Amino acid sequence: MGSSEGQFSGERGEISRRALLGGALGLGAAFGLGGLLAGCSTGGTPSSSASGGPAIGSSALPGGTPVRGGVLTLGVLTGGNEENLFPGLAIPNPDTARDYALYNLLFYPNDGEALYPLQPGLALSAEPNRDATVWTLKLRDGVTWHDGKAFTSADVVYNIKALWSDPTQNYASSYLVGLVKFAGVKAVDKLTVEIPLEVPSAQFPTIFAWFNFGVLQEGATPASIARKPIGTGPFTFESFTPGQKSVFNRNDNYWEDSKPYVDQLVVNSSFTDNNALLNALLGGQVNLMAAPAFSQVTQQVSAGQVQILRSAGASSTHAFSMRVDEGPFADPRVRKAMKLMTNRQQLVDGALAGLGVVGNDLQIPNVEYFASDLKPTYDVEQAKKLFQEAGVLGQTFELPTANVLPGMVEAATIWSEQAKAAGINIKVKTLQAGDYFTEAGGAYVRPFAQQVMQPIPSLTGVYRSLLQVGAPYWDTHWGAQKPGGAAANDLILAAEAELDSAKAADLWGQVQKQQFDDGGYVVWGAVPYIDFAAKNVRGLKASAAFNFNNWRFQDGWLAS
Amino acid sequence: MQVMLTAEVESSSARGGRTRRRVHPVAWFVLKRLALGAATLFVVSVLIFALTAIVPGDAVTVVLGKSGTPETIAALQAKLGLDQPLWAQYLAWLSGLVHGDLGVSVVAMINQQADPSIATALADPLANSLILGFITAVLLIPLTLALGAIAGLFADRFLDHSISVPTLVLGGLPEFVTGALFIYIFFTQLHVLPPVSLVPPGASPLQTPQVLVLPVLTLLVVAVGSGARQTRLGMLEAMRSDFVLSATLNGISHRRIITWYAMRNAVANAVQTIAQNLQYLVGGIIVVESVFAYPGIGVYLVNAVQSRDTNAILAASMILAVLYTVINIVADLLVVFLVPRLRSELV
Repeated sequence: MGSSEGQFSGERGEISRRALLGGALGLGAAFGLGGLLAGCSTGGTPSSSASGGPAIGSSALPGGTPVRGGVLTLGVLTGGNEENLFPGLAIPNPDTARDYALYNLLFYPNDGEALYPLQPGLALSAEPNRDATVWTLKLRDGVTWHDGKAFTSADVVYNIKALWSDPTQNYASSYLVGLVKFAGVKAVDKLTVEIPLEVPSAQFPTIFAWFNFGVLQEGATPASIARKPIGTGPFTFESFTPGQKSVFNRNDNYWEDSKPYVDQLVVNSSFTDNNALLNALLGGQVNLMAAPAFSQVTQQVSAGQVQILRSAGASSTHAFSMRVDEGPFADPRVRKAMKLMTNRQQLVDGALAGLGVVGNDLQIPNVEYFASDLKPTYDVEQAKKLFQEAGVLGQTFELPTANVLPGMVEAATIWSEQAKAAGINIKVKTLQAGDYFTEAGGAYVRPFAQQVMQPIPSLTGVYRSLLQVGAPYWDTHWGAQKPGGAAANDLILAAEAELDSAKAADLWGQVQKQQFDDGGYVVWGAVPYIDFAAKNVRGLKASAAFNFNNWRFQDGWLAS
Repeated sequence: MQVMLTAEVESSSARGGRTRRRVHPVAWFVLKRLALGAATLFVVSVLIFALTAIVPGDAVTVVLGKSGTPETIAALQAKLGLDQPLWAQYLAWLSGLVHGDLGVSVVAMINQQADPSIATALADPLANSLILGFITAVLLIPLTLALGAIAGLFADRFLDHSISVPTLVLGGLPEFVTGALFIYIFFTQLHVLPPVSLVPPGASPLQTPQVLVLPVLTLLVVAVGSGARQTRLGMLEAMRSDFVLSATLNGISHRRIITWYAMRNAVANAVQTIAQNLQYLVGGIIVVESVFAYPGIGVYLVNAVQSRDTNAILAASMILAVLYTVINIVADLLVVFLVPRLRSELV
């Protein structure tokens, strides 16, 4: 007997459409200022709801009148010798924490439960032409670099053409390569940039709301940044020792009024162990702890020694991936059966300590046009029947896993137990964590794997990175299946190109229905962002976009 | 029987004794141990290098991560010499090592850090670990002997039990459990010591000695038990031996018997165990550094392994291997000096 499970819920689609219509009308609709700023704050309510999981922590620390001065010290698990200050080569935590202090993005994901509408950063608006093949960015006036020079369109043009187009200078360049006509990117005036595209893209600006696209000064290189990083961000550079500690001072000329409030930000990335990190927080040696272990979160709910920041939206999705073009999962009946046999709530409870929400086989639930109406079914008998029809009943499938992120190995183990009830065997094989998501380690060519997705604030971003032909993380090889692969890929491109919100909603609905029915992902759950803060920290928020609401330490202050 | 340390023997060369050298047997023993140590280190270097080569992936693939394409990875590998045959890479590294050059961090080079030198990056962590290890060793040796001697002198009495039972129980626990226990007692309950041992880059832990207390205490507790046990046994045997009985009958004071006769026997008995405990420190420090977030060579090594920074792994591992080997040689020599029977066997 089948049963439906709880889903990513909320009225996010409506909010977005209102926001978009508020910015412009009909064809040629734009990410105007009105749209960008609409509905961008949720306030400090307890994090709960069907979208964020059980009520633990709060989405904002207590507010009040900010007190100036003091030092915010963030403790985070070490990135070791790999840590660097060049945003294009940043790997999440702790590089991103430093990068958001030093630099600004053109746009930021929303700071609420959803990831949209975008919020302005160094760019105030983005306007498309009639067919979304040319976008015009209006930049923020009055911004200065840490060395006193004025921020202008020449800086943005340099970043796009020289840094963001080059895979050796930017890990996320594949989001733009094949989409942007780099040679045609130009400064229209001091604060206007024109970006021509190879293909129409209605959600193009959302791609810039990604941590690798921190804007650098014209002429900056990895070597120059290693010597002396200069940004426009809320904190200026003082010192940096990879794998140990970095110190940043308040930027007195920062463009956000009155911010930051603290004199100094210290990032201590010397921790190799989460227990030591929590002890440091309890001992007052750090006053912020990023991404605690799930067990520490549940323990602190009862212990109450720290403040728990938890995003209202759960946006980082956990999935099992199956290649749709060849191998045992090329048969859609097998993929369907894999989805049917999955007890998602059990996975969330076991692998995510109950801190997440169940998924519906679609990636990143907090974006515009997300099909939250599609509900997965749990039906072991039907799964067994489909396995039998496909002739794989009793077969063994090897699932490579690795302890890259919390919950991955646990999920693989739990799922392998669930598979037995459906009449197949999943043999879990644990690989080296450092290699798991690299091409050299076999990623993106394996028939069977796991995927954890960092939130990117649009379906265009999700599909360009995971699902359309040639995507950098194309692990299911969607679009290469026969028959129907080419048509499925064309449907994605049509959805990405559609500026009219009603038509776009319809097209994205079709795209996601295909994924839901035939896609290669079993997206079984999603987790919110959870961080700890000492009792005297105020002003910080949590959002579905990243830890500490995009590492916005400029909002934080210390109660006296 | 006392053996004259000044006794010398003549050893002849393989060429019929035409060139005759006078080599002290203890010196000969020292030379042999040093040669054996060097050979051991060579084998260790080959093994470590082979292990880092066997594991799939390298620093380039790890650092470039998801976004590295086969082309960009191959280009970087060529630039950094990682496309060379393994033997060539090994010889290049070994050649640098014997000239005192630990090489450069591949990861630091990829990230275009201003100074990718491993010697620079390792200086602080190595100094921090040596400070932690040295303080522990300085406390460990007398503590082991004192506790063992007292337990031996008061064998099967309250004082013996109050020493032997806790040292055995705590010594049997893993470092992370003992460390957590001390954090609970001295931080959570008593609020007298910091729960983690953070040391800013460029600073010395000696500037904030309180951060050393719990790591040292943890290492001591784990290491002291077995050495004290051996000392206790040695003391017990000595006190029941004929020469102590004879000394007692000859009217020698009880204090002198303990400090001069029995203690020497007990020390000789315990020295190998103490040496093993000092060798344990080389490995135990890695765990304890992680528990207390102490920025030493253990943390450096863990980071290097995670990022497959081969040169950094080799440098840190070889330093640990050298320390291990040196402790081993010194312990062997100490045993020879402390146990007359062994010296006589060399002659």
